[in-house]
Amino acid sequence: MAFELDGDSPKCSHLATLFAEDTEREALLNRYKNAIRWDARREHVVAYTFKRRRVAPPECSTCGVALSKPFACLHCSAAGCWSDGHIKQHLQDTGHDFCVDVRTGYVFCIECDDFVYDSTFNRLYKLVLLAEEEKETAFQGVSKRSREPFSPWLPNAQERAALEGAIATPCQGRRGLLNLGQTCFMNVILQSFIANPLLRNYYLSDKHNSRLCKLKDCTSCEMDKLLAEVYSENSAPYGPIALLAKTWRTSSELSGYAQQDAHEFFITALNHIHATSRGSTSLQCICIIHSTFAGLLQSDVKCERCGKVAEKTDPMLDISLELKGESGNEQDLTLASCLRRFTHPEKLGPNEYSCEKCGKASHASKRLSIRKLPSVLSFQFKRFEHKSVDRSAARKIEAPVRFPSSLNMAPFTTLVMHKQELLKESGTAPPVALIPDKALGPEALYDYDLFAVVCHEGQIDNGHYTCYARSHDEWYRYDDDKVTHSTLSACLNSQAYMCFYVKRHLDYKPYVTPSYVVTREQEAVKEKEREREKEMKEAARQKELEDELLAVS
Amino acid sequence: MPSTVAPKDGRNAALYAPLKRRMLETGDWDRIAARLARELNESGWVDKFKDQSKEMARAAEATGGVSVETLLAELWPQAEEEVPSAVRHEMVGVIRKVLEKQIEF
Repeated sequence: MAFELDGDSPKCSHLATLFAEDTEREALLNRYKNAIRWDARREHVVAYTFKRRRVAPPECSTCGVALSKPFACLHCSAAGCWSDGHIKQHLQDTGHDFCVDVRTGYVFCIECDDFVYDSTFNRLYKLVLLAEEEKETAFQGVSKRSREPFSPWLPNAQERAALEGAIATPCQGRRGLLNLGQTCFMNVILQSFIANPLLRNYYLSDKHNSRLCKLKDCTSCEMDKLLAEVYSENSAPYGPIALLAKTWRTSSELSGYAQQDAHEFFITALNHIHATSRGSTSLQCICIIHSTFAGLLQSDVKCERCGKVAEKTDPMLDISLELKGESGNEQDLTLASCLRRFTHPEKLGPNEYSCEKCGKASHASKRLSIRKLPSVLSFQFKRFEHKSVDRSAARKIEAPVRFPSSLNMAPFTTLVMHKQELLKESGTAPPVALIPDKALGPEALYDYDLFAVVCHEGQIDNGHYTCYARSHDEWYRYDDDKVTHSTLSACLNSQAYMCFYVKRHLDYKPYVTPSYVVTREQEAVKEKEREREKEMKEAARQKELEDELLAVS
Repeated sequence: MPSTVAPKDGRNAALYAPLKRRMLETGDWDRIAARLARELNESGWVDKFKDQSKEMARAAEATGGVSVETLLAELWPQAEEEVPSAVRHEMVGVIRKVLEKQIEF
């Protein structure tokens, strides 16, 4: 839950008056909670209603019309239409002040004659929605218990004591990066790492302390230092010199002052950080990089002759999307259309595949889908076509690709795609709903939000990288050392080379103590044992000395 | 939102309220609304107006701010017009199919 600052925001004075009174505040928040919860439940039920079952909609207290966008009074049980002004009329007639749009959680104050924002409502809204979503997540059930319920972090006594002694550092969390000689390719990727909530949180919560690490050429340490520099009082541009030097030492192909490909650096950096991070293994790795970026890609090869489908999964750290279609058409490209092409069945030639079941080289079709979605989804648009090994003979595809600020990945996942195929084959009309089966929902688990975009201007060998990154709800443009406040539309209208999306609601393995906590506890036990042994040894030595002294005298 | 939603006269006016109720009961209304939201998001319409309304509100801060209703009133006509014709066409088709099941023509 993001920490909200409500010290500075001008609260609606009428709300402030009401909140000052404890019983009134609680009554209002209770009504708010119930209204939101009621609508969230109704939405989930309605999304999967069967043909015969009906769910009664709420009615306007004034005109009786069924409400598609209900507004609930926060002082009594009245509800009303907005567009016909009935809810406003109710507020005026009764002297009640507040009502809420039950779907969005936005609160309207009749005295201010406007919607008012308060972090209390915002927080409550998110908590209620999350609680309802948890109940609906069927496939995450562990031994009959449903998904583990979220509880916000409250500091215990020890933590409170630590916080009291802590000095808060005023910082922006944004710093430009100096160009150390055609290093804009590195700077944009580093900015995307800094803006990455999972990476940022990992290093800021001291999970890889560069002062204690003993590894040589540790790139993870450089990330720790980089984030410490960004979240410091110094907001002058920073030069990531040590990181650059380490990159040169560990990846010779990226060394030198020539312009490099940002995506290549991205993959190289991920591999280096993975190799120097805790939990790193070659299979089923749980290091920070894999926990953040790793997903699973599934390829289904279907033999046209006998119908057997061979499934194979491959791990992936990002998705590279082709921009050119078969017809060479590069018009009207959107991220969704690229993903559709990516997951579209592809015909394999007659000699490219021999089926295991019927044993003959046959016509087959191959289809890609995403088996496991990562927490951070990275897309690369293949703009650079390398005709040969010689890099200078490559071409850049300039066509812009439209991408959204929020993306739902359900239609491209294996489970949803398989279900849709099944429905099509059985003749059932595919539902208008996005997720064809309640067991695969809720939809919110597939939602992603854009947080960074890497752009490239110019030619392949004579271009410049810049990036846009989001800080809460504000967008900033990073051009090496120059950081400027920007807008969502400036970001979306830029020519994107790479896009980074973060999952809106993370799924955790339920009812499991995180491995780092287990390790920490084990270490603490071992440390205690060591102390005890030391003490015993000391006591034994003392006794020996005493005995010797006594023996002499 | 301006009251342009329901036809106030004509032979269809009497059908509006019961139809709306039926569609809400069966969940068709929500499914259609969700489909429309998806299509509008993919076409870039949602992001465009999200950004435009935010920047308008930001610009108005210097002069005391602007209310949500004012923003809506100002942007509504443009928003309605800029719904891509392909999306409009498709949604009308979807709605028609649903209505055909409910009404005897």
